[in-house]
Amino acid sequence: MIARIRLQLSAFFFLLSLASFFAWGGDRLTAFFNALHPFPSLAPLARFDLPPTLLLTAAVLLLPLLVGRLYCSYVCPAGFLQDLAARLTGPWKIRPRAAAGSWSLRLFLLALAAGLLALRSPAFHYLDHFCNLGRAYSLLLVLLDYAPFGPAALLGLSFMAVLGAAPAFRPRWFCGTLCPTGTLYALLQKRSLWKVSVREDCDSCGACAAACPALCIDRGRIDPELCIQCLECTGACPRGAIGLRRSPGRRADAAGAPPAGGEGRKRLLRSALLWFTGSLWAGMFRTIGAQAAPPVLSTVVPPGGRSGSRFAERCVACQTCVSVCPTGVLVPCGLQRGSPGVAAVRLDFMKSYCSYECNACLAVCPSRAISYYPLEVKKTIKIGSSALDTKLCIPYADKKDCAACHEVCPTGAVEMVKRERIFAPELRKDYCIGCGSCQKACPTQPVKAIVVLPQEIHSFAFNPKQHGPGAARRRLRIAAAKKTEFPF
Amino acid sequence: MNRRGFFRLLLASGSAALLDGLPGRRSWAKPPPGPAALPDLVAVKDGSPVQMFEAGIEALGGMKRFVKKGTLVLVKPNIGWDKTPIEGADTNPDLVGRVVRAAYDAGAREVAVCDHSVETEKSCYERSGIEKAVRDNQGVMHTASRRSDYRKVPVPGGKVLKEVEVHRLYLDSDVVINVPILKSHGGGRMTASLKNLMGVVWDRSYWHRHGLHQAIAEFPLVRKPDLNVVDAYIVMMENGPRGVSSEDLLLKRMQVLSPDPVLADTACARMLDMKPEDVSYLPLAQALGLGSMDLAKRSIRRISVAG
Repeated sequence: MIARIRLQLSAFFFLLSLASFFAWGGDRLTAFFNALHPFPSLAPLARFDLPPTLLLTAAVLLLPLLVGRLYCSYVCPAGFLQDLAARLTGPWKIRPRAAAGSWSLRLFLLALAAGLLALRSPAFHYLDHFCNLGRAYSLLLVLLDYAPFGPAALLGLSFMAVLGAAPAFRPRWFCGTLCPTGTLYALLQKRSLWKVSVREDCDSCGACAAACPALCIDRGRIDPELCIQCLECTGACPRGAIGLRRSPGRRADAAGAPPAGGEGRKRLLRSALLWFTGSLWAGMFRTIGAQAAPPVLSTVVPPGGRSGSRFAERCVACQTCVSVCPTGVLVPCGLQRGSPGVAAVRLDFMKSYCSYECNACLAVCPSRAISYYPLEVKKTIKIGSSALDTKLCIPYADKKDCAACHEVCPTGAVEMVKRERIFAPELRKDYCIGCGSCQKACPTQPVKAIVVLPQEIHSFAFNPKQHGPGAARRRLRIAAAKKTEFPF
Repeated sequence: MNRRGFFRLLLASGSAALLDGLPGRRSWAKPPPGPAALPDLVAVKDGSPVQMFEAGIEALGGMKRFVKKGTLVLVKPNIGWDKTPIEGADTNPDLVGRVVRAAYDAGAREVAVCDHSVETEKSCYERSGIEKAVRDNQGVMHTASRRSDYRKVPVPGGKVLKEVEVHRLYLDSDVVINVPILKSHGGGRMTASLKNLMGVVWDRSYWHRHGLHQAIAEFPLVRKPDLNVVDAYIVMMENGPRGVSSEDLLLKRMQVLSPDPVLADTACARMLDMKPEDVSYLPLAQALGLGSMDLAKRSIRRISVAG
C-alpha cells in the first residue's frame, strides 16, 4: 500500500520536475519547484540577496526536522529514477550488497558543497543532484536537435549513467554517498521529531529489510544515516513492531543505545574536523577558480545577468534557461577561453537571436544568475553592441540594397541612410541592445558583416518608444502625410 | 520547369488574362474592355478593415470571380513579426479572418493560411491574432518553418533567381489570395503585394545577397497571386518593416484591392509619399510583364464607406 502510494507520488513529482524544467506549467511552477531545492536556492542567501521564494526553501529545510527525509523518498526525481533503475537492473532478492559511502566521506562532501555555496562559488553544482538532473534533462534538448552536444550534455550523461548503473550494486547509492542534499537531510533527520523506530517485540524476521528500498535495515536495526524515511518497512512488518513514532529525545538515537560520553565527544570532534577540511577545500577551489576565470568574457550572457563576471559567479549550469528559450539562442558553453564556466550558458547569434518580446529565461533561474526584470525593462537591457564591417556589408561593398539587419532590428538601432542611389545601414549604438537579430539575419557568407560584441557590464539602451531616432523629423513627415484623400 | 508546372503557369496566366481583363505582355497601353467593365483596382477608405474589404471585393466583382467551387485556396497574410495587431507590423487579423470566410462562402474546399515568419513562428502566429482569427473562420493554419514543405522550382526568365524553394501551398493551391500590410521597408523601400511573397520562400538570405529588388520582381514569374488585398488601415510610414514605436504608424484607414500586384503596389507607394519609380522592383516587375504601373490609364474605383 505504502509502496504503491510512494511510487505514484514520486512518479508525479518526476513528471512535475520535467514540467518545471521545460516550463510547461508556467514560470510560477518552475519557481516553486526550484525553491524546493536548497542547493541552488540558498545561493542568493550567501550574497544577502533574499528572493521571496527563500521562505519556501526555509520551510523545506524544516520538514526533515519533523518527519525526516520525505523529500528524498517521495519527491526527489533523481531518487525516483534510481528506484526505477533498481527495479530494472536487479530484482530485490538477488541484489548485491555493496557498501555505501562512509559517513565521513559524505560529511566531507556536504561541507565542501556548503562551503562553496557560502563562499559564493557556483562549483557546488558538480555535486548537486538538482543541477545534474537539469543537465540530464537537457539531453532531451540535444536529441531534439535544439541544443548542441557539449560539456553540459556530457555531465548530464554521466549523471544518468550513475543513476542508472549504481543501483545494480546498491540501491540509492548516489543518495547514500555523493548527494549533499541527502547528507544534509540525513543530518537533520537524526534530530527529527518523528522517526521510524523498532519496538522491543521485534523477532528479527527480516520482512522490513526485504522491503527497504534503501537497504538500511539489518536484523531489526536501522542505519539512521541511510534511512530515507520512506515508511515502506512499516507496512511490511507482520507484528507492527516497526513504525513511525515520536522520538524519545536525545537520550536514545535510532540505533537504540545512547553513545557513551567519550564516544560522543570523539564523534563531535570528527564532524568538526570534517566540516573544517571540507570548507578548507571549498576555499581552495574558490581561489583556484577565481584565478583561472578570464578577466573579460568573450561571450554574450543573458539579459538579467547584469555583467559577465557576475553571471559567471552565479550560473550553476542547470540548463533550465536553455530549455525555456523559445528561439534557441541560449546554448551551453564549451571549454573555450572566455566562457563564463563549464556548461554555463551563452547566447549564440550564429544560431539564433534573443527575442525582443520575451523574458522567459529571466523568470526561471534557480540561482538568480539571471535576475528577473519585467518585459518592458528587459527590452532596454543592453547585453552587447553591434559592429558593422563596411568591407563586407552588401550596400557598401556591392552597392546593392539589402537592409536585412534593419528589417529585423527591434529598436531602430540600424538606420538606413541614403548613399547615392541606395540605402546603407548606419548604427545608432545608443539604441542597440545586443539582441543579435541583425547578426542572425545578415546574409553575407561565411563571415557576417554585422556582429554583436559582448558588453562586460550590461547597461540600459535608450528606449525607442520614448525617444526614437529622429522622432521629431518623423513626426513632421507623418503630419505632412495626413491626407484623407487617395494620393493617386 | 516540369511539364505540369508549365501547363499550370500557362493556365494560370491565360485565365488571369481572361478573367481580369489583363492584356498579354507589353500591350497594356490601351486597356481592353473588361467582361463587365470591372475596375482594375479598387481603393476603399474610411472604414474598418472588414467593412472596407466587403465593399472592395463587391466592387471587384465578388469573391466568386476568384474562388471557384471546390478549390484549395491559400490566403497569404504578413505574419512576419512577434507583434500585436495595433503595432501595424502584421496584417490585420480581422481582415484575414474575413478573407478566409469570404473564400469559404464562394465555395472553397479548404482555405489554408501560412507565412514564413521572420521571428519564431509560434509566437508570431499567436501574438498577431491571425491564428485565432483563421481558426474562428474554419481556416487551416499551416507551418512554414519546415524545409520539407518547400519545393525547388525553376523561375522562367529569371536572372537573379534561376531556381527558388517555394512553399508547397503556394505552388499547389488553386487560388492564391495575397493579403499584405502596407509598410515602409529599409531594403525594398516599401512592402506590399510583391514584397509579401517573400513569405513563401525558404532562403530569403539569398535574395538579399544577390540583388533584393531584382529577386522581388522576378519571383512572381513562378506564379502570380490571383488577388491582392493590401491592408492600409494602420500604415507604418517609417522604420519598417518592423517598426520601433507608435510614432512610425499612421492611421490611414484605407485598403487597396487588385488582381495586379504591380498596380496595387504603385498605388500603395503613393500612400507612403514615395515616387513609385523609386521602388526599384516595381519598374523591374513591369518590364517583366507582371503588371502595370500606369495608374492614369487603368480603371480605378474609389470608394468611401464612411456613413
